[in-house]
Amino acid sequence: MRSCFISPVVAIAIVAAGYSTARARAPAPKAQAKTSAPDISGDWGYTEGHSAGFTFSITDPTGSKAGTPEDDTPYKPATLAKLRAERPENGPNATFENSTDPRLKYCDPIGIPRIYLVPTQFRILQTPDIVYILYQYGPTWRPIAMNKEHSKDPDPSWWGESVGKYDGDTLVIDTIGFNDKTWLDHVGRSHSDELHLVERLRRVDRETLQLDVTFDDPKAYTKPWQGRKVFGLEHKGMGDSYSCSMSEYEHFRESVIDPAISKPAK
Amino acid sequence: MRKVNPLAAATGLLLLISAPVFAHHGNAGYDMSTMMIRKAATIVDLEWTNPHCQIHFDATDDKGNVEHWTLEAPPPGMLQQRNWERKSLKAGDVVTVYFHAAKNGVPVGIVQKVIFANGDILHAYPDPN
Repeated sequence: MRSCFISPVVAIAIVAAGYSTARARAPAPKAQAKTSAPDISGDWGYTEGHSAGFTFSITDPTGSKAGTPEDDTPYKPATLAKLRAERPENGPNATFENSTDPRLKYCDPIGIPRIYLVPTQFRILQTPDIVYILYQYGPTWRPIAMNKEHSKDPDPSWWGESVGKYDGDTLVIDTIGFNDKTWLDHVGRSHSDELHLVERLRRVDRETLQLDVTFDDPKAYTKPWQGRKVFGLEHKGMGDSYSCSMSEYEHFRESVIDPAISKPAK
Repeated sequence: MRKVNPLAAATGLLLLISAPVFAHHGNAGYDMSTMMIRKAATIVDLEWTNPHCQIHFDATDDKGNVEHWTLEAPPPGMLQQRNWERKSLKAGDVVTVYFHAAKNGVPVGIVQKVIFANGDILHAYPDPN
């Protein structure tokens, strides 16, 4: 598949307009200049046949082994202890109450790569200088500076500093400069501020996008480890954005969570 | 409300059959092994909000008592992908509701699907195995 960069002006206008155009389908790519870049543009999500799961593990996508003796994730002892002390909503220690998940407890940004585990959509817009990923969740937009070097010492942030390049048919996104406040997945695996994340996005066929992730975090894990997710091309356009709101969450908690965890009436 | 093509729906369900129900807080509070069904449920409200939409309905139990149920549903963006709209359920609509109830017996739960009198179906989540 050959590409088809869209005009940077068009892309920036779309980004600037936020999600007011979200219900519309992604604009058809306009050929500007023939390049060798692969076309991975479009709206992607967990369409029929693809499952989000709760982790990036290929062998344990629901995270049922997380923190157990069967879990082969190369944790350092402190990282494993931290995982076991968390109260996630999914995995072997799933809880319905008093979750320690920072995105629930504080509405913290969900971060990368966990945002890919939410069964919402994301739109990829490719321009020669910047690839934009617009996530329905948040909504969040993320610029990937193409063919640039990282800053010397990026300040820690929720989303880190991402640079990208094409490697054949694959977009390779290299991100550093994270803070250590986000979880890597829904079962509570943590990371340090030394996380070096590499995302490899490849269009397997017209309808399928594969994400391979490498987690390299020498402060938290003994060696790099990998994960994978597969997405389908969305044809309906992106739906309403998912916005974290503590007031709406409180309303939901009072209506559903609190009754569901209350002691049964005798 | 959009009509569902039965063949397309069946194909979709076949593909989706193993997809886990995703609730952002997990499902530990619900009895996911038991599917509850309430026929002739009268819709009170559909709240179109994050982190979950909420469906409120009244239904009569086996003893003739009217129960008021509150069910969580996926957030708006996810429901839209499954052909829901904000006005898919209106106060007074009489429908059949499939859901998983809370383990502690209170009338809250997580919706699976809604079937309308004319046979139309709206899935909140794919049907389980």
